[in-house]
Formats: sequence, C-alpha cells, structure tokens
Amino acid sequence: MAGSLIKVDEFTISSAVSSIILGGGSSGSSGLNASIDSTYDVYMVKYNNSGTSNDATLINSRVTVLGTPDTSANYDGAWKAIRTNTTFNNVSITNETQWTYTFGDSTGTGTSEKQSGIHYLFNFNNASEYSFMTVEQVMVNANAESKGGQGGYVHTVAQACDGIQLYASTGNIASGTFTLYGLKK
Amino acid sequence: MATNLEFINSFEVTGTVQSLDCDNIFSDKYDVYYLTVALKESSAGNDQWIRMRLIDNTGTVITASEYDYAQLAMPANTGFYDTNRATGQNVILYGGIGYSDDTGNGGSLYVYNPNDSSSYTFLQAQAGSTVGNVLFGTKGISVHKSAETIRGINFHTTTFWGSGTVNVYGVK
Repeated sequence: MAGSLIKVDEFTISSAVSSIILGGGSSGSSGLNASIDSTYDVYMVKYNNSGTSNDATLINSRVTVLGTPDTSANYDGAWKAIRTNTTFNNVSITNETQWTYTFGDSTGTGTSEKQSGIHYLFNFNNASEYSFMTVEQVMVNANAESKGGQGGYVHTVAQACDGIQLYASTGNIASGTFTLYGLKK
Repeated sequence: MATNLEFINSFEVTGTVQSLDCDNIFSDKYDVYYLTVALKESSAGNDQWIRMRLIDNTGTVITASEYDYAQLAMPANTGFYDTNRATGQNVILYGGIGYSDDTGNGGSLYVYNPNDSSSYTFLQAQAGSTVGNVLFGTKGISVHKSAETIRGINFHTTTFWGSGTVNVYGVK
C-alpha cells in the first residue's frame, strides 16, 4: 500500500560524536547522501534515546546550506517547558547562533536521562521563505526530572536549506536514533 | 513507495465500559508508536479526564507508583493553567490525551521505547476536548519511571464510555 510518510535519512549513534547532520547531501552522517529538497514541502524528524556523554548538556541544532551549518545569528524560538515537579516555564531566544535546547535540554548521564520527540520542518528548501520548525519532546533530564517541551522555531533567512545539524553544547552526543522523513505532497 | 507509518491494530469500545486495554501492540519492530484516541462517555454528566496506565510484558496493568505526568490545560473561556502535574503516581491522570464527555474528544499520543527493557517509557500527547461545553486544548507528557518491557496501554475512566476507538501505528 502506498503511504505518505517516507523515510529519507537515518542515523543511529554507535559511538559518540560531537555532531550529526540529517540530510545535507554528502555531509550527512548516514552516508546516504540524502538531502532536504523540493521533493517534499514538509519534513519530520523523529528521535529517541537522545543522550550525551557529559552531564547537563544541551543538544542544539542549526540548518545546513549545501551541507554546511549556518552559524549566523538568525535563530529565534519560543516554547513552553512542561514540568512535572514545578511551575511550567516560558522560554524564548532571539538572534541566537543556534536553535537552543531543540534536541536535548540538560540531558543527563543517569538511568534513562534521555530525550525523544517529533519535530516538523517547514519551507527548508524554499529559497524565498524562512525555515520553520515545530517541537514536541519528552525527556528525563540531568536532575531526573520528567519534563516536556512544546514550541516553535524560525531561522530568519530566506534561503534554501538542505539539512539540519544537531550538536552537543559540550562533549559528545552519546546515544540516539535520528530519522528524517518526508511528508508526501 | 512503502510508507513508514504502519497500522498495527484498532481497539473499539463495545457496550458500556470503564476500561479499554490496547494489549500486545508494542514489540521489537518499532521504537516509536503513534496512537489516535477518540472516546465518548455513555451519557451526559459522565465527564472525566482520560486516565492511562501501561501494560507489562505479562499482560498486567501496572498500578505501581511509577508515573510522572504534566499537562498544559488550555480552556477557551479562561486562562491556561499548569497545575495538572505530579510525580510518583499510580496512574497517568493528566497526560494530555484529553477529557471525555458525551460530546466526545480527539487526541493523539506518541509512545517512545516501550519495548526497551533498559529504558523508561516516554509518552507525549495532545488533544481537543469539551469540558462542560467549554473547549479544552491539552498538551502533555508522561514518563513511566521503571526500566522494563511494556507491551500495551490501558485507557480508563471512573465513569463509563459508550463508544470510541483507539488506532495504533508504528513509526518505522
């Protein structure tokens, strides 16, 4: 039966790495030479068991252009931190050089101190539009707190992006499976 | 081209029930699952938040105090609130999957790593419901803080459901 959620790229960490790229052509971590392109308007990233080698570490993200992460200070975002043990937080960033927290918020090294989620990517390959990402995530953080995040992000540059880079704020990304899908038009 | 969202099973409310077991749905075939949930109370006045528990690898519904949960409640007629949260509970009372009354509801749920015996099981949900004729949006998360193999999920209410369906998919 034909379907509408199509796997484009996937990378499972078998040994710790400082960063990974989903899509990005020949710069992609999987070696599949996959890219975010005009085949689909909307892409989805599924990730699970995302963890780091150092305690209390963030996993941030950036768009890639021709396989190279864009480090310009044009990353904005806002999200709600959904917390099980205290009041929820509103968090935002403006003109940062990365999308902070997006794949790991204070990821720990204790039992199941990992993060999982589903993110949607919009207009990445459209050269005349900004790139947008929605975030839905659940985790146990470095303080053993069960926590979630819901929000939206934008990279305020109208350019064609071909992938997304994920990187640890310190040390390495130690675990996780990261999968990029296209949503069929 | 093959799809990567694969239908696993569907569970339907038949008769008037307080509990719906979706058993034998998690396996080593997928790490991540997507469920659609729509449940309707049997009559007016039977209104409750939809509760969840996980089912272990022997088929037993887990009632130990191992669940953390939190949801953002977004009522249409007043301010949003974040007080639906707790740790170390024996049921997921506010997991974000919504509220069922006699007008029904609709929600979706992702479940991460249920079959991994070395990992906690993580859930993330969102729903639209009506509570006393007021629209409620909910976004929630929950964690079963015990590393063990989970094979299913139980939905239940303290009142009665008269109809409804849960569909289960694997995200390959």
